[in-house]
Amino acid sequence: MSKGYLCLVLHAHLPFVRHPEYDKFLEENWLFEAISETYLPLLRMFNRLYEDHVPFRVALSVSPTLASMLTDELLQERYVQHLEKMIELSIKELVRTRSDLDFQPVVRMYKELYEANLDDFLNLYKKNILKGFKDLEKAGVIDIITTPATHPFLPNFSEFPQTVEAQIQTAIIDHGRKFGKAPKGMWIPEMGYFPGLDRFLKHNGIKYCFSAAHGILFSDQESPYGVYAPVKTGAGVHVFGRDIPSSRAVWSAEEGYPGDFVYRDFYRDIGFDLPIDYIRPYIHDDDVRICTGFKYYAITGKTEQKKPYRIEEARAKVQDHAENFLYQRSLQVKKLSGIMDRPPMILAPFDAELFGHWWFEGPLWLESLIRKTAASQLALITPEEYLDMYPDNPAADPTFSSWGNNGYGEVWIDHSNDWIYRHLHRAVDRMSELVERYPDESGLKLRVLNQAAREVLLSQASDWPFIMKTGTTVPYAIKRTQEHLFNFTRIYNELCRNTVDTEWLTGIERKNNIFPDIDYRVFRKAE
Amino acid sequence: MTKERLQRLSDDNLYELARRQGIRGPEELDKDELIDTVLEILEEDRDERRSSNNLAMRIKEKKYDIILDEELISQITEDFPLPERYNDTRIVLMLRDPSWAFTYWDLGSADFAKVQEVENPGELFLRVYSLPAGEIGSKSYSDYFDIPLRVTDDSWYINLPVAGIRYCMDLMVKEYGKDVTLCRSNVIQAPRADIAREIKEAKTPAADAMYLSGLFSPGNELEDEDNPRRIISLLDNQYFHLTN
Repeated sequence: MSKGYLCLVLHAHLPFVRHPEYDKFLEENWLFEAISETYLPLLRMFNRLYEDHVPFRVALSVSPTLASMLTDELLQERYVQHLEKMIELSIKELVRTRSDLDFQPVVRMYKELYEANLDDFLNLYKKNILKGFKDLEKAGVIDIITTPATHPFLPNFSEFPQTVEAQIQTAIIDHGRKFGKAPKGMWIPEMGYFPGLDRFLKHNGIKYCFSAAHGILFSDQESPYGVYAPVKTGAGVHVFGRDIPSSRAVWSAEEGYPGDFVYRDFYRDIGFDLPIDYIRPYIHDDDVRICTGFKYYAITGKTEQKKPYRIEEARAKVQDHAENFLYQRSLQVKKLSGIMDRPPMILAPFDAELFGHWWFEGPLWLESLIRKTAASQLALITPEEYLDMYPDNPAADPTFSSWGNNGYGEVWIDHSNDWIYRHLHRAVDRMSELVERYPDESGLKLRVLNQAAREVLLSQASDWPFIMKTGTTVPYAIKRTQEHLFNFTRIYNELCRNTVDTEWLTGIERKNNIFPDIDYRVFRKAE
Repeated sequence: MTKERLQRLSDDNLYELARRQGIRGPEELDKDELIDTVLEILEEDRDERRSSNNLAMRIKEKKYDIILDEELISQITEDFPLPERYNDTRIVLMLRDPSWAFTYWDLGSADFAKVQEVENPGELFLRVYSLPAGEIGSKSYSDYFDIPLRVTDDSWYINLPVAGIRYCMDLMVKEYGKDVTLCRSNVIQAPRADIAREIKEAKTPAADAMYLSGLFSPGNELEDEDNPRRIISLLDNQYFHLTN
């Protein structure tokens, strides 16, 4: 038996961004960069491990919004065009840097990366990379779980139970459609737990979720294992608490691994560095400079004089950091073993996009960690496997908590974004009113009501208030929130007048085409 | 926002942007000087935003980080006007953290008219009730404090005096010297925001496990243990002692 367990959970999520009304849309690049730098490299890494017969188990949360975009034909086509553009740029860059011994190997690395991405995307996955994750789940190496439909910060909707229910139910139905099975676990967006959430999860067949450490530690009931075993809530859902030190080691740019001076610098990008006439075809319209993904420098230190990125040095450092991470976890397990009567389980949950997109070497670090763990006294485990082994766990009800700033809701209720809630909450109530008024519709009215439900869900994404508070594309986040609320309000008003502008409806159905199976009655208020 | 982009802005757009950044009389500055000042302010603003975020949020930010402060940029040019009011009197109370709640309210036509007649400061106010544990009866609403409002207010942040108890509030107006309730909010439960005292003081393996989960060393009491933000901040920021 292993002396302890390490549970890696990767949460893959992006908000629904799809703009058929534009030939090219800036924020769609969020998806393209994540596919190129995170999702495809992770798939290649998992497949290498599987082919090498390395024993491993990882849990992967795929949000319904991301899954919808990954299976959307328009975005798939646009991603292919994006990759072709990147390959074209890499060829031009090979020529431009032909006498530069520092940059040539890095340019070649990008060319290989984008060519491998195009090959995998077109030939291996036939443009649908969810297939890759599904195959890995079938092979028994990853467990795929879900997250509420549009990734809302649920505590801000705790007074509106019908929308919590709608978010969870819609996610589960969508997950079943895309992955062919019901999810057993759910990633709670931003780890935003509120007392009572467990009842919604249980009611929808969810066995487990995750919370911030203090959610469990500040519970009224004592958890004899701290966060090193899950607790079982009153409703019967298991909640696993986040281990703080393991995430800190991987998150911190200053104290953690990704800030090492030999790793690739995230900010220096040729989209900003090269002359506008040269880089124009690869940035945004109107000469708006954007990240292209071609970054040639190492972090180097707190200096503007960055050194060229050296691939081999970074790869060697990855090995050291994986070794160090495992060593630290082994010490943790050793210390915990003295006070626990079962092997401790360390939960290390991360946003998947950390690996590859921000921390370029992240997927290699994960691979190295998994290989080294296989040869250690620790074992990788998924929550589901753990619960099979240890179905009886201490009773405790987590408190309101999140992994946001200062542990609660201050990111999502802030002077920059608090104006949205009067509209979001009103839309929920009005949607439930529509369900009551039209309990059993078909034909055009059914289409109208289903689109209304989609717009309400889309308006609730936690990404929009997050960006309003912290981000660099604030006008877009504001427009998106307004757009969905406006669409919903227009439908509501038209239904009140018993008129429907079918041309407009068809337009927004085509644009916001997420959740094709949605049933608006999901917003029915409980009796 | 890059220097190059600022240089390409028309003077009017540049002045507008500068004013938005709090620069007074931008027309009086030399264009290059103005651009440098705007860039400096944007950089400071970006640094401040980043430093206020914890590690999880800083990682999350990177997902959306593809341009530099292009605050003028939004490809979507269409407007999506939202109702200013919903013409229905109600107040919603939202818990933000153990110390703060946020509330917003809306007024129906009759109440809106009533509120518009308020002449003196303090005649429109929020009454915040601290509610005891257990069943809530009419007596529960006897422990309260008032927050005076302006007629134009429609939301407020409330500093919750005590963690771990329930709160609710009324939106009220004084009418002929009498306090009249316009609407009552939902009830919220502020979390205790600390490890339970009995667990903290116990000398058991279970208490050790709690501490090892990332709090602080047993016996190493916090200086100000009633400040939940400080406790969470410690939890969030301390470099873990476990493996030392």
